[in-house]
Amino acid sequence: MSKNLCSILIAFAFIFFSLPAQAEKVLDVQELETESGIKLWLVEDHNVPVISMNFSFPGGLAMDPEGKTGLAYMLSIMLDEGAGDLDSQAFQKELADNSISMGFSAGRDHFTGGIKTLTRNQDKAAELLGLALSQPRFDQDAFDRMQSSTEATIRQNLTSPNWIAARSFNGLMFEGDPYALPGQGTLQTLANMTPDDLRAFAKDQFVKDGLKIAIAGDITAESAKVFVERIFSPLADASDIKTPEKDAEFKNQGQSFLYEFDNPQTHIIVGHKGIPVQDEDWPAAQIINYALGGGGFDSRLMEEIREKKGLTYGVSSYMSDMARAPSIQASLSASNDNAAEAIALLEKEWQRMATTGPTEAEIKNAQDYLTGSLVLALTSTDAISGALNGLQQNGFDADYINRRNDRLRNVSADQARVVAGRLLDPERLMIITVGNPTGFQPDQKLETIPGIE
Amino acid sequence: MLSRLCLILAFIFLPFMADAEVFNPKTMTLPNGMRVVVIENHRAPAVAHMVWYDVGAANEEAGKSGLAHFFEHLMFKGTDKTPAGEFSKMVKRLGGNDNAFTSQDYTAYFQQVPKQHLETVMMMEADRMVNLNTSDENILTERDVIIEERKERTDNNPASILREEVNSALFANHPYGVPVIGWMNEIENLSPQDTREFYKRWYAPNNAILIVSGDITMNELKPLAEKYYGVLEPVALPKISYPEPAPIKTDHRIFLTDPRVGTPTLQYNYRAPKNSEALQVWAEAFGGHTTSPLYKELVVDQKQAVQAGVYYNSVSESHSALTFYIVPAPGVEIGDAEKAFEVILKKYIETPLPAEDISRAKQRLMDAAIFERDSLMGPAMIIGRALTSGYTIDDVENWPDDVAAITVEQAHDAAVSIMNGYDKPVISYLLPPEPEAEGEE
Repeated sequence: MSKNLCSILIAFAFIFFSLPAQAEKVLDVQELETESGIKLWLVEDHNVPVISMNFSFPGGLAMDPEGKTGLAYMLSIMLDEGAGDLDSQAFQKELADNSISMGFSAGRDHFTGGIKTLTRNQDKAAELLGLALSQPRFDQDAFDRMQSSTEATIRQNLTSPNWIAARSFNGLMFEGDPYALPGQGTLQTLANMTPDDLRAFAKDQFVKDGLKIAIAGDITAESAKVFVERIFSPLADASDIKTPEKDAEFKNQGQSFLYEFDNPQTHIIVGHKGIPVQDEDWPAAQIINYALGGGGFDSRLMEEIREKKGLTYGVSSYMSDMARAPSIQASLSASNDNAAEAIALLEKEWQRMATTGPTEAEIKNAQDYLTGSLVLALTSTDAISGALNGLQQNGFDADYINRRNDRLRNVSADQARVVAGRLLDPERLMIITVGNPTGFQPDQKLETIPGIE
Repeated sequence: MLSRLCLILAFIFLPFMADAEVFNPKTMTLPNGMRVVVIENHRAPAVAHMVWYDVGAANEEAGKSGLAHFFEHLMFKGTDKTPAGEFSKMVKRLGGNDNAFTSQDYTAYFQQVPKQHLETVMMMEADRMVNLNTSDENILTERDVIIEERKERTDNNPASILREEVNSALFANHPYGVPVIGWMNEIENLSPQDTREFYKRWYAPNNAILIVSGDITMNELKPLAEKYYGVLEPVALPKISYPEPAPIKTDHRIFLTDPRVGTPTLQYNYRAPKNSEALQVWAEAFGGHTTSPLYKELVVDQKQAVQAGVYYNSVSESHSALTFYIVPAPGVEIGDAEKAFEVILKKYIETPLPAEDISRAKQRLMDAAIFERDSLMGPAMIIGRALTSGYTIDDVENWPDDVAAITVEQAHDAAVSIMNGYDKPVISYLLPPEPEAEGEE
């Protein structure tokens, strides 16, 4: 299971939106409301005649009905396959001829969408996106085509070692929870779906309750309100569907697994429970993660496993912010003969960071990067709107940025050491390996791919 | 009615679009021969700083494949001022990101940093152009990293393995037939001495192009460029020339059956000239979109495939390729999808594409140039690739005009000359193993 768009956007937001409070305002975020009461954030930027918008609805994969896993994903690839009076080809032609990019993604906790258009085509963009959300057609012919296409994708995934590793991680760590299910579904659940399922799903999913919208680019506040009103006002206010609220249980922590696979390298993913983005220790955790494996060449994992030993091309750690199951993970691939040594080094660094925390110098380096790189996130309209929507999804207000950065700057060595002890525990690491790692003794061998019938 | 209106609008927009400048770059050349390009973008106080060297894998000696890319890694392995492994760390601590990449034609290094740190990264980049002093030990450890990189990118991936074989066939007797990352047996034998000779031969200001994109003007950049890059000594550069690829006279069908393939893929690869706007327009019109004839007929109408498209990279120093790719629909025999594809291709070689498809494709291509401006790196990437492939800034800026001027006939002739030309296509099949029950007869 690849990381979904919304978690990437949120991660992006948290990496870059970390500016010292005393700095001048970098983004002028306008909080607007349309005539009918739909709220949006806007960053006006008239440098290039382009407008980007990102939006999210709570739900996504969490709303997949039993036995129809993958329905949210199917919805995400069917929305640009015809709406209103336009069948698939007619709708696609309108998008192409007006150079409008429209995309949707079914995340673990949200269903997200994005649109990017030239200023001159904004009316057409609003019309097409509005139709897609309010009057999707889900014609049988287009549905059959997307079903075939997804079948081809699933069949390819089932033979791809990096996909198998990620699938095994989610399948085992969240065993019994919807988070454990494959986002694109299985060949069996795919065959169970119908266009009527999509119609019912879309009706529940696309409602104003919980909708978050961020726009950036060459558009005024007045025009932005009209743009948003036109797209979203036809949606119902709310639906009575329920998404899971209880935190997911973490299973199989401290266990190691091997899925034997004939390949030159072994794919490795490790991880355990992390801390939520709303936690007061989150800024300290960001700094610890940077020093451990999130900072590229400026991290201990990269230094020890690649730079000193040449055991891998790349290794990184990251914090996943799934709403009911925050985790910290690391991944790499290494030659089968090197895999056991790479895993041992990774565990050793995990332990060392857990015990002593980052050094004062590492803390400063992380703070300098996390705060200084803010401006790099503001160089395209879709990066701005995407990052803002990520913040919205986690319930932060437009002023969050400044409060947040104070806390990042104020993390002390003492605090970081305490949080490192809380965040990291090598004993709890679940280790997934896919390959033929020489000399690696797993607790358990996997005969089938978890979550796949 | 609506589509006709769009068509008319498209024609109204063409001359207007064609008059617009694309990136409006400012250029100069330092006395030592190093070219300097500035692309202004004042959205955020950030810059992308790139140095492109006009050397790539195609310039390696026979038997030393992978050397250009290997050397790219070593540029992070230390000078007196920036010790081994420190370069990227220092950039990070400025709030920046850095990386590098190597192709057949060029090697490029870049940093994206807050504007106030531009001078620091210029100093560091200029320093490693001439002052690299990597130890043998560091070089050999990095060779292990490259070996892992080759495994990760290529050997783990059957599609990449097949691509290497296709390129070997498509570019026999030409450096493009050798993979950029290098053949494993040759990577393993690259020596510290090889890398040092490569550095001495190719890394010099007169073989480099500085491109800075972002919140900066030429007036601000010029004194910095003179201070850090202008003082470096030019060297006598080897003359670059490429042999003609050998003619492809026989049918080439390359099969790879691998258990790591779950979904089969078919590709038709034709050797193609570089820099053909006419071919670019034809490829975009024929297979660039889901409403193009290739996808509409093969995927939507005939249901023979779930994916179908065409890829043509016009920017290259020597030759290029035109590649059609087809993913057969589940349950469809790859041979049947292939036959259906051949019928469609033949139809549009005998009869030109409809004028409407050509004009729609041209509009999409020109609009894409506007979207490129909505980023820091986009314009710098396009200009860097163009300049290291022998094009001029004018070629880049005139590209929309050139695209707008392509006629239906020119596009058609460009495709016909390849498809009915002397060289046969290289056809590749990426296949899953036969299911065991059916395999035993």
